[in-house]
Amino acid sequence: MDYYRIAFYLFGALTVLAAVVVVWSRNLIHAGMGLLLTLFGVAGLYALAAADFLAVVQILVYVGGIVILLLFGIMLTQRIAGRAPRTGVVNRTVGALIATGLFVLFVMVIFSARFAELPWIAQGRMIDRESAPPVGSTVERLGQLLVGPYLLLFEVAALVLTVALIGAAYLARRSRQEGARPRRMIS
Amino acid sequence: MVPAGGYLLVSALLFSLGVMGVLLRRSAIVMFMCVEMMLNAVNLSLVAFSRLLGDPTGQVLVFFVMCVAAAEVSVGLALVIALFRNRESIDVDQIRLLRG
Repeated sequence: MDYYRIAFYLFGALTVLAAVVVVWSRNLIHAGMGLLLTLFGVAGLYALAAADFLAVVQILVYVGGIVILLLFGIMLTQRIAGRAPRTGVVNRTVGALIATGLFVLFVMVIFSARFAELPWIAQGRMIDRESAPPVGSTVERLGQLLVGPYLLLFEVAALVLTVALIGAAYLARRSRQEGARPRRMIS
Repeated sequence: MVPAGGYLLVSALLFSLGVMGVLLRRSAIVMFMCVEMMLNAVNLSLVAFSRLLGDPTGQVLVFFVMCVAAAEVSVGLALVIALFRNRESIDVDQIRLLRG
């Protein structure tokens, strides 16, 4: 068993187990920590699939940014003092049935498609370490793609992020007339 | 060696767990976490196919998905905080103003 395969199984198991913690943990903080481990495992899988730049971006943006933001969200919206931030589970049977059905469907598609043998995948078994040519850093190639054919998308993504952050700041802002605001606006 | 199926299986498991979380959990923040998990599952299969094809275009797509996910989380959390300020709760079962 080579190290590549061992690392793949380790990161895959880490990802899935942490995802199970996110779904099942009653404690919101535990769910946040599970999400952190899930995203970290996915970053490891990116690195194993020769996407080094994306692995770094995943850790920077998701683990360093989004999880922290979510933890802040938990702290701002729960009464921390006195009790642990807990939340319940609903629709147990129906939800589990739908998700399991979806998973079975995915597995059937994956095993019936035989992706490695499809004609449109010319280099069918690139992921196999033995047959795949060694790939260098993807940073240079990605940079050329982003400022070349995908320049417009790149700029639109920047615009989307700016607008979203302005909108978020506007939404989360405290209103001026704090006292005059009706306390129970929604029933 | 790890065939493409390995990556796709992890991706499928992650996506199904995300769907299960969105359906099962009542806290808006945990639902956000599960949406992030689903986005990550899709990203993972994009990266796997990018490797399979030897074409980095799939990674560019992952890059844009990450941008949209970051925007989605920031707006979503702002909504959750605004909601909490009005309702003192982020339990989605209690938000039923529009229920007929």
